[in-house]
Amino acid sequence: MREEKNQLYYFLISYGIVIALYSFVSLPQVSTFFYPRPEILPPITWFFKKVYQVSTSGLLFRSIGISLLRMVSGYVMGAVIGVSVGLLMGWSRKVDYTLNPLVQFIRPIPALALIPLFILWFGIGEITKILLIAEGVAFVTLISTYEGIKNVPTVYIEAARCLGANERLLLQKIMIPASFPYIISGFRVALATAWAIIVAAEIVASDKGLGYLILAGSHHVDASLIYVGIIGIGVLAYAFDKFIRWIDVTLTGWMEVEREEAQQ
Amino acid sequence: MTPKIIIQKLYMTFKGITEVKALENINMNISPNEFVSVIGPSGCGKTTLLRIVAGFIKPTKGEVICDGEMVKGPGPKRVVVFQQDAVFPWMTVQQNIEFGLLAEGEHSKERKEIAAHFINLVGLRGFERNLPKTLSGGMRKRVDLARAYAADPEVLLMDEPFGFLDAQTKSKMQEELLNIWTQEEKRTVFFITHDLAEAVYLSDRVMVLTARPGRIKRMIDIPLSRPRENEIKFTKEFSNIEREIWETMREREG
Repeated sequence: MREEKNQLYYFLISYGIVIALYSFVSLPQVSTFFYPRPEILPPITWFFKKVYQVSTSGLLFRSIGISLLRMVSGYVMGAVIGVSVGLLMGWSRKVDYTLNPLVQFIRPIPALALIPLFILWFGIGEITKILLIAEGVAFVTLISTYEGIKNVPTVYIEAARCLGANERLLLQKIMIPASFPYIISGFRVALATAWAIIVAAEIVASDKGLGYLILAGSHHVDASLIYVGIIGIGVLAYAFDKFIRWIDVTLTGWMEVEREEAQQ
Repeated sequence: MTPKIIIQKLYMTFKGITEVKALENINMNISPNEFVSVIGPSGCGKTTLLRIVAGFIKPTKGEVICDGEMVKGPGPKRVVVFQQDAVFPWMTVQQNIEFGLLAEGEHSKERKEIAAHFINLVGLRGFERNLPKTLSGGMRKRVDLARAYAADPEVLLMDEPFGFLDAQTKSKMQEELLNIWTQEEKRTVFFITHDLAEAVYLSDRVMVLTARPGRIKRMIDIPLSRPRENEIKFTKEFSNIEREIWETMREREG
């Protein structure tokens, strides 16, 4: 309990420092010394006011909504494909040998480099953005799942086998749970990948979403839109990471990361 | 009495950059309900022998017959207790002990009953819902032992199961293993160790292997009466047997 209070305290300090620094730098006397154009660093009060305006006008929430929808659909699609194929490749030598050369070739290509190709194939609609995210997420989660399966300690597999486990039970009760730590860490990496892709895709080919908000701010020389867009992405990414962490604790709480003192 | 396990003309050679002869011409019979230990210096192929009997690896030549059937792969007739911690860390104590029963397709009610019996037997009552990470090394070995027993194997294959425990816990576990072994319907036990006192204390017979390649040097019957208390280790009779085996192990080949 006391720990949590302390955490809140430090949280306030860290944000307080940022706000104080910004307030200082954005003072007209200070900012004009560096920049001739004060609108790039508006005073913090003006900034809060604009954020409030953008939020209440519904623009922010519409942008968040549309980005979120793209993000979640692409991420779920990619994760389902990635984990399934990763499991198959980890489980079956034949599948591994067949798919590995392809995976090794496509995986290092950044999803961002595929944006033009995907636009060519699927147009500039929603499908393109969702598929781009799915592509990025699928490869990250595929590799982590595959590694997870390959790294299950032999002693667990042999113990399960001699206790009479068939293939199904072995996969379901041993291989998959033993791989959770790898799979979850893949989920977290994939989250960062997905955000990079969605923002880039929205900047390149969209008229909605947080990425577009940032682009529009730049076009209209309206710094507040850019800030709102960036903060929106930050808040969402943070919330997603918290969510994955929660899944992590639920699924891999059995790990001995911080081992409690064994009761003697 | 027909033997439980027959090991016939077994050879094992590991092929690699240099060939390693691990086992050479191993022949032995193990009777039902017999407790046999294999002892020998490290690298003598003890573990290899156990892994062949378990069905994890195939011998280069020869065969292992269990209950009249050739061993072709691992199965619940021959359950292994490993030296490493093989308790599944993502399962509770209860789920671990039920695993063999689950694999056999037992119903949840029977699984619970059988597991409860063995949880009691190894003294883990009250820890059913604990995760292994909250247990000490000795307690985890008990889970492992209970899990092996709950699977109702014909043969228990134990590969230095107490090798990583401290001396005190080790001696306690040896005593408990004997208790469980006598209390339950007796199983055939094939026990690997490099600890002389452990082999003498537990076994009906001790097989001494030579170092690389592992060959049977001698089979020694342990005439100590059962049940055996831990104190038996301090008797003259016990140390005489120990010395005899010790001398056998030291003897030069040929």
